[in-house]
Amino acid sequence: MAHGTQVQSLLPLTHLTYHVLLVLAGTKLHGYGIIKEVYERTGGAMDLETGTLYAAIKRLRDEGLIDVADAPAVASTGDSRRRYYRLTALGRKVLEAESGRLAQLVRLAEEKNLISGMPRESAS
Amino acid sequence: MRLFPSAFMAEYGEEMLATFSARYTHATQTGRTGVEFWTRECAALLRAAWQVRRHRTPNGFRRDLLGRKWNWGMSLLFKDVRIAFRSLRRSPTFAFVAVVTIALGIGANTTIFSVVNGVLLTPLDFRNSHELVGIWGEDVNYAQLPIATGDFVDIQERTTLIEEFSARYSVPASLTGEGEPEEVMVAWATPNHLPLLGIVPLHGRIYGEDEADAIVLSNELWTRRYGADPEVIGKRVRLGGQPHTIVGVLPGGINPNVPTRNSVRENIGAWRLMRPQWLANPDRINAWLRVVGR
Repeated sequence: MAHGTQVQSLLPLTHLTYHVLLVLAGTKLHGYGIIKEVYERTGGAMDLETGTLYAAIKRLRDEGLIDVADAPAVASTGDSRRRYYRLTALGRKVLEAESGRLAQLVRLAEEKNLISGMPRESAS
Repeated sequence: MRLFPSAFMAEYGEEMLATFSARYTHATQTGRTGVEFWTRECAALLRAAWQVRRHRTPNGFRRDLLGRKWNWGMSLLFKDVRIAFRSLRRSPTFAFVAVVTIALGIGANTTIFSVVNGVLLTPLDFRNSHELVGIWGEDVNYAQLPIATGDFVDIQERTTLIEEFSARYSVPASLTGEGEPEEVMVAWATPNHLPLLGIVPLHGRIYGEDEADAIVLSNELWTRRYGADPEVIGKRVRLGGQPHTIVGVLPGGINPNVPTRNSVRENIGAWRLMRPQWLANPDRINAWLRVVGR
């Protein structure tokens, strides 16, 4: 299927792209909201600068993975300069495919006992 | 932010200011508004501006779905070039040997092509040059020798394939008169030699069959010595110590010198009449004429 080929050709995603798409999954966020959400989800490991984020937003919009969304009914801020973004259908498919790929990698790492802290069934 | 394209600023400018304002407010609240904050923000803006202008994204996609202007093929080329440079940097001795070898090869090829191009590929700049032939004598030692006057007479009488012949002989002579004395190469040529090649004087005319003291200047000599003055026609000069009259000037942009042996083209400064009585000499031993036919 052409769409499936299209999605596969975009993989693997980079950290920045994956996290931006991930925080937009199922919700709409403005630019600062994306930065804040990514920061909190990564425990402070990814602190996106303004320029970095908006260059990524432009590219993601050009690629058709995200789009401008209407502001939610209950917006937490009255700053009219902000725009909200959401995943497109293609963006969601790409995110799902990348998540599946990463999950597969995690399973492989588990088999090699490289990931600690995950409960494993006893052999006996 | 002025580094970003104007279209980008029109689309995202206000929004970026709002986002930055929020970030700065948060950083202030957490005590992180020092040098590091500003350095990171400014560096990110510079990086992003460059990437937006280059149609690249920070850690972005490897492929464009919507037909961006970015040339995918060229990006692969640039990547390969970068990898090549890194590899060469790790092996400087090999890189030096490779560069020298390639340089020698390029130099040799360039030299060979220059010769081939000049001798074989580039046509002579004469009228219908494919109709021109050079007539040479030969002996056991040399394949291209001048023609003796006795042979020149025979060639003209017996050849049916060539309609017209001309002969030329060149020697250096001193040119005095206006300006500093200088030695120029003078061609003694039959009156039909230059017309045979299709060369029409820029000024004046070619010397006649009985004008032993008339000379025609090359365009280079006329420009250099006489300042390209059209009034030079009729001027008296001394060539080889003897008085002569300038009757013509050759046009520029065309080399009137027929290649001699080894495809050398002399730089003739002046043309004068080959004495007819010389050509009547039945001598077949002293070969000194360079003959051209059409």
